Amino acid sequence: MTEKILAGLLGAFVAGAQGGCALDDADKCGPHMEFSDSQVCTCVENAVEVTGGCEPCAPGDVVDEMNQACVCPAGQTRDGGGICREVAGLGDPCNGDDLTCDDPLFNRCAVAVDATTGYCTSSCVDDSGCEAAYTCAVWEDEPYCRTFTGVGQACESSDDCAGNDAGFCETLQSHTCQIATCTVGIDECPRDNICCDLSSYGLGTLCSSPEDCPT
Amino acid sequence: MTRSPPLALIGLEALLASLLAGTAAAQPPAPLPQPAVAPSPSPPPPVAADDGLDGLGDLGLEQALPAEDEALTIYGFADVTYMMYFLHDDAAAAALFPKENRFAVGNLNLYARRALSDSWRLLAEVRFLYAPNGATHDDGTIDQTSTNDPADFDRPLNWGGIEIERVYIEYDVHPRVTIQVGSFLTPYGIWNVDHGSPAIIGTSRPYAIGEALFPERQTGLHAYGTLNVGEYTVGYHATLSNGRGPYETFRDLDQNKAVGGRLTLEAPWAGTLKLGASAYGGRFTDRDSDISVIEDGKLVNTTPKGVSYDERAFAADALWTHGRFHLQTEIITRHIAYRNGARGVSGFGEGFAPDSFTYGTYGLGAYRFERYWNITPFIMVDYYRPIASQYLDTIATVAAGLNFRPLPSVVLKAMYGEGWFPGAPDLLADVHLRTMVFQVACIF
Repeated sequence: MTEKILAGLLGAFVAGAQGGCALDDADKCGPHMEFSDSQVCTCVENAVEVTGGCEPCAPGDVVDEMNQACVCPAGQTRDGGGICREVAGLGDPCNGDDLTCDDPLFNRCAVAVDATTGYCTSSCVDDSGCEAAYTCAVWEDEPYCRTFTGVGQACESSDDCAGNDAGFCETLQSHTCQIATCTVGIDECPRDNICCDLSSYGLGTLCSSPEDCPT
Repeated sequence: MTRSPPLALIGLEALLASLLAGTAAAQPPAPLPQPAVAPSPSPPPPVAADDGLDGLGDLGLEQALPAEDEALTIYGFADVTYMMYFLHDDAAAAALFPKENRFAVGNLNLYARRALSDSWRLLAEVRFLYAPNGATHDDGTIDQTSTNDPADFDRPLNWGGIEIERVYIEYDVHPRVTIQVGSFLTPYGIWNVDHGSPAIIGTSRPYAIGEALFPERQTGLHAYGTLNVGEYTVGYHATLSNGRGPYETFRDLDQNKAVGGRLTLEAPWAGTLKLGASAYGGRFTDRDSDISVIEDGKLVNTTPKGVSYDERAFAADALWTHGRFHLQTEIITRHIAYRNGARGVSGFGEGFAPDSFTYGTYGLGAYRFERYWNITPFIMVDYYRPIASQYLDTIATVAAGLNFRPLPSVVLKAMYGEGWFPGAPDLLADVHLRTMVFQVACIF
């Protein structure tokens, strides 16, 4: 009898200890998350970080990777019902030649260096004058609402980020495209982010949130 | 989802710091983080141990309890260590630890004990610390607790803190049932119950012990007892506590009590064989305080979820003594499952911490000679699988050393340790951390 009790206790103990071993990748994260190659839980596509987990964005929204917020895509704005709607003239393709920005508000054609076509946008004074997906480029002589392309895009090398504003592949941890070669103090970065000097880490400068930037 | 790299790098630094600390007996400048606790239950004042092998484990700290003792007894132990890290100046770990060879005053622990009656006892243990002086932060700054001494013309002095290691009152309900209430050492394995620096053979704990896969101590109720069955001794422990938390000694933020237990068997097989199995289940919660707002004329209280997870830990241990030969081993596992909406950040600069299964094991062998201050050569191997990360898969260490006992209450130790990281990616693939540690520990 005693032996049976001991055997039962031992069996229960071993079963309990082994229970934890049965932890595959699909079981390691919570709702709207996935286990990444970096061995951490990250939000699934079209979900953003909130305190304690991830929340999905509404249909039609996109993720602002730098600020972890659900925003309307470039060229759209949120209506009174919270739905993203096209804004006439905003984001229309332009080249300053045959494709012009005829809307009286979005009359600025923003063309990236080395690009032939751009998008129609508006002048601004600060971020409040731009839609959520845009940043007021106050470092320009004539500030305008601009976007940053490629931020957060998965990459293995900077070749994967070529052609985007986020042209640097951070391969140490996140393996995503980041915005590099900014100027500390000028902060040519997406809204609410700053240019961070990481030269002591061998990374040069990168755009990051102020709280993530070592002082 | 991305987050900028700076935090990732800081997380890596923390990881390396953790590795070095656990791998090779490395401790912050002073005091040493080695837990300074004597064996439970209720260690009495130290007396000279005999020369038998049992003395390896207790050094006189585990004698039979006396009956009622009106006197308050104060005793304790202390240790001083000389540490040598063999680090290159450009090693990542060199930025995190004082790489200079150095002396370090480690533990200074005082016990206060009184037998209130034949069946009631009180034990309190405090550790005196130099901390937070010398605490190093992620940004490279170091705390300095210098202040002016008003008793000495405001000349500078450095102040330190006190850690209450444990305090409990215990009562013998029955010859086979004793109950403790208060803060007590978690009864699991061999090391956590018997690991004051004079009592342990080496200079540092195995990784699986140091990482606290079981909580090192708990606050609540602890019942224990033994039963002799022929040549065998069967023991049990059962615990009910606040579980883990940032304020576990006086708050239970999730109001979810943790339970645990341990069974032991001592048998006269080829000497003496002691076997044990332990289990623990509880919930960890770290959150901000409640928020109260007035809505529609009513006071509405909200409790933030904070970071919270459920954990289960299991351990098995064996201690075999045969003549002057001593062999002990433990294996410890821990499973963590975060609650929805209460997941902690990863600590590696990106994303959230995953649910995890971690485990570790070690083996320690020693042989104690009668001559030359009871010289005791020993070897310890340590294997640990931490929470998965892209930087690290496994930590392995091997340590060997000598232990002397010139007096029953004084122990001298010398230990060389080497740690490495099997399966690690390039960053740590070829890293070997080596240390040499000398220590003198005594009971007073």
